[in-house]
Amino acid sequence: MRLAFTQTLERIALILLYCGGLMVLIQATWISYGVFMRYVLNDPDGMVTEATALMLVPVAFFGLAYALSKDAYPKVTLIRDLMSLKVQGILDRTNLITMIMIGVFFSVAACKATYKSYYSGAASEILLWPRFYFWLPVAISLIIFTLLAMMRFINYQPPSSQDFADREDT
Amino acid sequence: MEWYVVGLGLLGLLIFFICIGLPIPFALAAASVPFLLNIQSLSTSMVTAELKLWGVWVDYILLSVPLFVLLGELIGRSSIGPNLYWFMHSKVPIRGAAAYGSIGACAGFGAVCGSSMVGSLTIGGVALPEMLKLGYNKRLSSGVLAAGGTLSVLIPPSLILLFYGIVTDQSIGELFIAGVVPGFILVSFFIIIVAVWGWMRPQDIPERDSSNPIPWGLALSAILPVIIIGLIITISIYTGIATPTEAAGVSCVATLIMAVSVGGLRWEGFLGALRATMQTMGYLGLLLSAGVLFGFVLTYYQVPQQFTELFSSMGLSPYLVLIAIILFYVILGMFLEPVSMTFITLPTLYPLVAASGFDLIWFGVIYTITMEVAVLTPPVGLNLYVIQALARKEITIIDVIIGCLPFIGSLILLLALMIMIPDIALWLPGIMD
Repeated sequence: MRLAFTQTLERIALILLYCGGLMVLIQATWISYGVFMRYVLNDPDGMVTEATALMLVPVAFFGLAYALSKDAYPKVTLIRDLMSLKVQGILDRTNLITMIMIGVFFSVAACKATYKSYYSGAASEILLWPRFYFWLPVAISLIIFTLLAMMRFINYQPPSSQDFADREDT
Repeated sequence: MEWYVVGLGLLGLLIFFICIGLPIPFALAAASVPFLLNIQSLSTSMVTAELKLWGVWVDYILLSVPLFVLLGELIGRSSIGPNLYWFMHSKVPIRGAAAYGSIGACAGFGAVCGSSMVGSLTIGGVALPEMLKLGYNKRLSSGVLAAGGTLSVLIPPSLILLFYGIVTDQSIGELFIAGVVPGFILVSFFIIIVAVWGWMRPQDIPERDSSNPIPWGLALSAILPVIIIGLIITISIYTGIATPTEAAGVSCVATLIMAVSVGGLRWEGFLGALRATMQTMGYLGLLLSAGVLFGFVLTYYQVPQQFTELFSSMGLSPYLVLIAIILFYVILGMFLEPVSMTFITLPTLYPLVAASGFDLIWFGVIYTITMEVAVLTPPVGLNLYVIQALARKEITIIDVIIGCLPFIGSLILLLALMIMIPDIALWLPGIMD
């Protein structure tokens, strides 16, 4: 059950990641089109600047959960590695709890922003695109990230002496 | 609360979290949130976080970050880098051609990629096994390639200069252009180091390189993309035709087309590039979001201003302040990677640099060079480990570190030259103005 839920979250993280990748490609193409229209057809595209900038908001968060699933966040483990295996286990759990708390903080902030922008109808400055469209993917990305961090905490296996020996070998 | 209590408290918490192995973006957020809650209630803090997230990410300049990251990943997964290296040393009738070729390929790759690690990995992945096979000394080979990767962050486009410009609110275009001349000087220094190394230790470089000649078609498929993409980025920014974000967008599309058509990029490589880009963005997204909260707390308590005033009141010579800052970054760079350092320390330190009367465009290049030193110094020298991982059985990390020493020396020499002759960086942006 726990494994299936974790795998589902990782699958959603991958889907979000590719959504972000697709948006980056759209941004690159749209910007190139904007430059082409401005210089070649002398008919500047009035949407490109704000539209692509707005799209950056979800792009910034779409990769969060995937980075967590790949343990890709930079960290300094010099001191942690010097500790005994028991202390390393305690530190890892402490770190995961801190990550969950930070995830919850940002998730709640993003969910509140999504809710408020939906009901207030807040829109972007020039194109008047509803902010809700951009907050919703941010909130989803942050919730998936937080859930994944929770599952990592629940599934956490403390480092064993075998892991330690393997690391020494490499 | 007094500003120094907040400053020391933030710093202490941050160091604590980093030392226990908490990933850096979370350490930054975890250090900021207690102070944020001291200023505001929880619900107001949420609103602050919401406003700050929206404010920082709806930014057209920041949009160039994922575009330049994707550009580097696409190039890195195509055969353009390996073919560029092959072209650079193929049938070059001089002793040490493979080493010079590595430097040339790293510089060429640097003109299309802004990440030092991608630069080292791409060129190093093909050049290191070949140099070892040809009989080059392992310390020379690993040193050339680890240091060569750092050219990517000085020659535009540079991700470090981009982040520096975002944090200090300086023109990204001017920063990129300011890196061009120091980049070429650094390439010359690296070439001189290889020549001197060969002269002092002739046994470290084989008499002749028996490499296969590169077919002309393949050579063109490597050179043309680098020239075209490099020109799109530098010329369009230099002449003001396009903003750095537009240059990033156009060059990204051009890179994709060329990587697929002549660079041998396949579907799996393309997906890999997208995954790597979004993974980097996942880290940067949280780092920058946590960074703005950190910055908000610092600014609320006026820590950067008070810190600058404190230093100014000491009456220290501006150059003493500058040397202290450079030393601080070189030491910090031994433990932190450049992007994190940029978002953690720069908001507090750059007002001090400005107050000391230094040009912030010039300091951007100085800062980038210190970041290059950072990726070459243990224990957290990213490029050292990247290169060692490419030939784990033949090369030890000590070999890479020793091999890098002359190149680190040349980076320090470049720093000294830049301090003595600031026009090395400011001349080209001056003409641009």
